[in-house]
Amino acid sequence: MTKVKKSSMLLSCLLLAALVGLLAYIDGSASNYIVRITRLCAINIVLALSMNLVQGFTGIFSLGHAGFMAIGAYTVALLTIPVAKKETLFMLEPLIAPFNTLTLPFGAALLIGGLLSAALAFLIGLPCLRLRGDYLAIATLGFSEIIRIVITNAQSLTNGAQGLKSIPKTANIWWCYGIALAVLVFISLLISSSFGRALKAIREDEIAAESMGISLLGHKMLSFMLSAFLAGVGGGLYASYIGTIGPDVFQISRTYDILMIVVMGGMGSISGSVVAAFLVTIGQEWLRVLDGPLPFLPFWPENGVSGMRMVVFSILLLIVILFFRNGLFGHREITWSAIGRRLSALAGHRKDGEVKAHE
Amino acid sequence: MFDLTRVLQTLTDALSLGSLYALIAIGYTMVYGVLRLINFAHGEIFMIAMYIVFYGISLFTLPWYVTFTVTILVTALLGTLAERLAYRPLRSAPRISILVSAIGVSYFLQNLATVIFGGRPLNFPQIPLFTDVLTFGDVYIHRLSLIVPIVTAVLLLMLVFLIKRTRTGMAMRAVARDYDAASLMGIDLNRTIAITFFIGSALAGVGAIMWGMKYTRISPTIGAMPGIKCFIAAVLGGIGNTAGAVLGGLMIGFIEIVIVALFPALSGYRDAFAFIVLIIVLLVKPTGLLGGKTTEKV
Amino acid sequence: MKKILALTLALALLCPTLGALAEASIKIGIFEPMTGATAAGGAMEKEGFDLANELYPDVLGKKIELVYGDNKSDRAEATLAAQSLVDKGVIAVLGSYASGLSMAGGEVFAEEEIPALTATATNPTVTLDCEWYARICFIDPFQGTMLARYAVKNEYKKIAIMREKDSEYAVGLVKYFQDELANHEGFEVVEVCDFMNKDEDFSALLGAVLAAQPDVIFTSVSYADKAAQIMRQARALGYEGAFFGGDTLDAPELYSIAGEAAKGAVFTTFYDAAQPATEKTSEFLDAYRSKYGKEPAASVIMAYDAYLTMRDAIERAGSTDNEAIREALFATSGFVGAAGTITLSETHDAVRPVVFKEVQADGTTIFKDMIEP
Repeated sequence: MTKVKKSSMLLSCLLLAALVGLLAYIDGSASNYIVRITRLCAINIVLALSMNLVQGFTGIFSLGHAGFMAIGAYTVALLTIPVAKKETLFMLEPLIAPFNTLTLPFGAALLIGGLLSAALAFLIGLPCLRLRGDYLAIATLGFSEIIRIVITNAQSLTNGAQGLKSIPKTANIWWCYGIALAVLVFISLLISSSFGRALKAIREDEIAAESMGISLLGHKMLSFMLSAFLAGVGGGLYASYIGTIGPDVFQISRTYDILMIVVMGGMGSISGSVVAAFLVTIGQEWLRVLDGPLPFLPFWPENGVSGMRMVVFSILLLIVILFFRNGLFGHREITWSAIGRRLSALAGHRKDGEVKAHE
Repeated sequence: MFDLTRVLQTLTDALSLGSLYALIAIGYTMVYGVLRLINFAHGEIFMIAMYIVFYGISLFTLPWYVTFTVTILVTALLGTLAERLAYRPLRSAPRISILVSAIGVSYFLQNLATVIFGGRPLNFPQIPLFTDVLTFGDVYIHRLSLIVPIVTAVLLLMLVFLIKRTRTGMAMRAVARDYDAASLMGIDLNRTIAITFFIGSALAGVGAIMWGMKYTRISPTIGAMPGIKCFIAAVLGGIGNTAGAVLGGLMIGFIEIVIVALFPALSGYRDAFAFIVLIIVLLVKPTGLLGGKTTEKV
Repeated sequence: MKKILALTLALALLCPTLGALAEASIKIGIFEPMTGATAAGGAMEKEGFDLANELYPDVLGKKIELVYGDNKSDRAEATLAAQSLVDKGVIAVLGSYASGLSMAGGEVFAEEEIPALTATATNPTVTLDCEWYARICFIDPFQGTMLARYAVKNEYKKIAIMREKDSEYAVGLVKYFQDELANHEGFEVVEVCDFMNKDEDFSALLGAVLAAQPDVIFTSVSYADKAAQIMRQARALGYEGAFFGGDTLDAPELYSIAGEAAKGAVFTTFYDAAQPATEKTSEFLDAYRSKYGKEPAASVIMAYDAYLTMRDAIERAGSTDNEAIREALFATSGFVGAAGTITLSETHDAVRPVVFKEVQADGTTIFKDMIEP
């Protein structure tokens, strides 16, 4: 067993090195467009994993992600925009203290954004986590919208609909992937810990879990807050990635987009969320071609059909959902031993090459 | 400032908006009753109905009653089709999959509408019979403001009759109560669910016609706001309960109108009212005002 | 089955990689909302760009190729759309409608050092702190001030404001309007009501507005359709006073949705078709009418002018070098466009007169007033 573990460890290190090499290559040689998409992939991984924690592993049907992202994004923006730019930016009403004179390093701002988001999750969770299923979903969705409406109206804090711009673009490829990797490792460890097993027990059967002595509200709350923390960090990265934010960035559809990734990858599968984050982010960009002219299709309008890519994207999404009803991965994970079994199965020309469920 | 005229005016406005919400909320609640599904595509079906009316009247110059009938039928069929293609195959899948499928259908319809109809807003055809403004002293009432509550009430009565008195209605109730048991009892699940979607979507069609005549604008994204508000209304009243949906719709309509009328300074927060009320109600009564006991399926 | 499907999906994702297009052309990016909430604005500007491209298809002896990037009316999507335009090798960018989207695109264009020019984004923040963005329209502080002076000139003592709270344009315009109005004795804003772009029912807001018995209602909206709905609903509640609003009202939807209710409404705009500003005006109008068979909205002619201004800048730069184009663009002075003469200030905003127009009973608009800066 230790031998297997050792070789897994070795393989993981090799993979990590390969990843770092690939990222360095992309960062150095690829066009800024590719770099931008690559960064977005990492941010979506963070967001998807944070949602998967509540949805997939704890079974809390929360739709408040956009709100938590907004908290993180606005915190990072307000704490990192240079003071001089803030003065010109807040044209309609001046920014209130202490933000008008305060700037912090990106990392600190990110952390504070996450913490604020988690604190808010605590306040929202107190009433909401007592609700069940769809009721919880609509209540969290409601809070997410309320956050957005407050942001729109709080002119002297958020600059209202004007939004914020000139957010330093610190979130380069290393920040994004560093955090994504940290979150990945953190969630993996968390899930295999006793706390993670308790969460899964709650997901499978609340009553049974409670009778086993698991504190329902406590565990749910911690999971909810952790998820909000990560969503806040993801939102902060997102703000630095776009460079400009406004209330319109955090509409409910942002939550749906992340939900799509999570469900497509498989609820309760970490590898699934990661793979789906790449597929959805890159796929959506690839389809951009459909909006433009397609010279090889004679019936296609010369200037292209704007919006066609989203039509095709939604059809692809539906196909994936309909044919992979548990997502691409279900509850399964990609592990070295699973890959090894797969390879030996292929080598042995055995017909039954299914990857065994492995959590 | 608040003389009798203004009070009467505010109340009629509230009643008219509330009954519109109610009409659309019924569709949500019916679908939820049988499938436990938040049908996110409901708002988009509502939107498509408005475009059908536009093309029927403005382009093909059909008389309004023909257009309305066609619209309601096509809308109902569209809703049923969505169920057949995107929801039925997922009936035994995790509930979240079917929910994302609904989001997918909603995205698809919205984007398709953008491609086909263009992103520019269109004007909803005006039919003087419905859209004239009547004056009672200083109170101005859109004729629709009187028609909508009546239509909602009539449709609600018909629906209650259908659910309580007919075999189909009994089947619906059975499916809503217990899915598996109903199918064991020989109830045709597919047929019952299809009928539910047919009726729910037809109501969205009726709602769309009324909404369009009242607010005169069509755009591919127009379904989103009524969609979310009416869904809140359905949950507020107790989702799965038809009378609850109507109550919820009326409540949201009244709350929005009355609070804004009393405190215009709060108007920027208007969309938050519905959510705040919903959250408060859910905390006191976790299944909504008229909702029964939770039937969490294990 | 699943494998075949997965394979097809993968192929579907892979296949749209297009072959390289002919290199002989100069690419200009069109950065506009073609879908989403402000798609109407994008559609109008696209007409203008396309028409200009038809009439003036080349620069520096090469063909100009317009490359479209749909920013989906979404700031997050806008940065990707902008970056994809840059990736396609555009040497300059035109657009976007809606200031928030231009701001988002500006972050990318500044980083990539691509000169960008917006036709109608009037919010001051667009060109502020962005050394690669210019515009050929006036900015909101100027427009808001002029609207306030218009109200004063017409003796509208009691003014009610309907403000689209989630539109950066609408909120800014109201602020500048109020700032200027405060300088005039005897004029007051009796009510400010907020709504969101998604809102459709204005009856409660209008109830509050009408209770204050205003002489005029100022509709500050992101697009004409919202103003149209307000007008229609206000008339249905018995309001008989006047309406006015900013340049977003200059769109065909104002009359098509409001109908009779829009009669008498006054809005600001950039030019007036009945008073040909330059020799290029009639050329534009003839071409537009014969191509689209209708009257152009202001955004169309502004987009047309933006194209011509950019083309002129490239011509004057004499090369496709980004620095040279930016320098030439920012130095634009006295350039004769179809909607008037364009001169950019040191903040790369245009200095131009504001035109007031009034909607007639048949939906046409007539010239009402013009104020020089």
